[in-house]
Amino acid sequence: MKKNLSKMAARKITSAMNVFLRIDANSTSCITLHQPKAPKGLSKFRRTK
Amino acid sequence: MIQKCANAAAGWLIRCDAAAEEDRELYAYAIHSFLLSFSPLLLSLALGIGMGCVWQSLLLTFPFMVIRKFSGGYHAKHSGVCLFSSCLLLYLCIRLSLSITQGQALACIAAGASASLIHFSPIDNKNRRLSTEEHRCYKKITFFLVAVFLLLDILCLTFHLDACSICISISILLTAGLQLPCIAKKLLPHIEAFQK
Repeated sequence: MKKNLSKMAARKITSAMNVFLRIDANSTSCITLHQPKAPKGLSKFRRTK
Repeated sequence: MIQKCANAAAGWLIRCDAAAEEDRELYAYAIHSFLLSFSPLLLSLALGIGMGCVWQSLLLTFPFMVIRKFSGGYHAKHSGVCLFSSCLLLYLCIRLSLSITQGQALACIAAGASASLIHFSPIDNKNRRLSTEEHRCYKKITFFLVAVFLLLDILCLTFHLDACSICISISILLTAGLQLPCIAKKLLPHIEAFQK
């Protein structure tokens, strides 16, 4: 039961992170004063290839 | 520390079969970036509650967050420096918004800052380079966003909502101000070459 709940939460977080990655990939930079190094995989979320 | 938390969270997503092992770096980046992105909002909310001006601090942070996402600007090398300077800058901006009473002069300065934002944006970072097409696209988005917030600023002034106008003006000034170190870095070699 606890394991299933944990898996469900992880899946929801992954979906939310996918939405966030799509927004991040289609903008200039991070809002704050620090920009983490963008991984190569981020390009697959870009609208312009 | 944020990076370590992001790596641990990405590891947990993989262990729960919610993400593939090859996407570890991608999700660690997403969580790191997510935590950093929402920190100004949380910081301003905390400062707003502490200083008794929640709506001013949120009104000041929102245009900054939206415009900066597309305009870009100065970025610190470490997230610790980033959090400290964000906190300090937000505090100073909230204090400034509380001490100014007349919005007209500030709105005029914000109009000048908007012109600078439209001209120099987007400013990319070595950790996230933009292609020519992205550059063109984000310039248009920045132009649109700056125009919307400047129009909102003028509307607030027209309807004598000076406190709102001051918050929007400071927000535009903060976004433009955070581009200045990058603009100076870009222009200095040209000025030195011109002087020679």
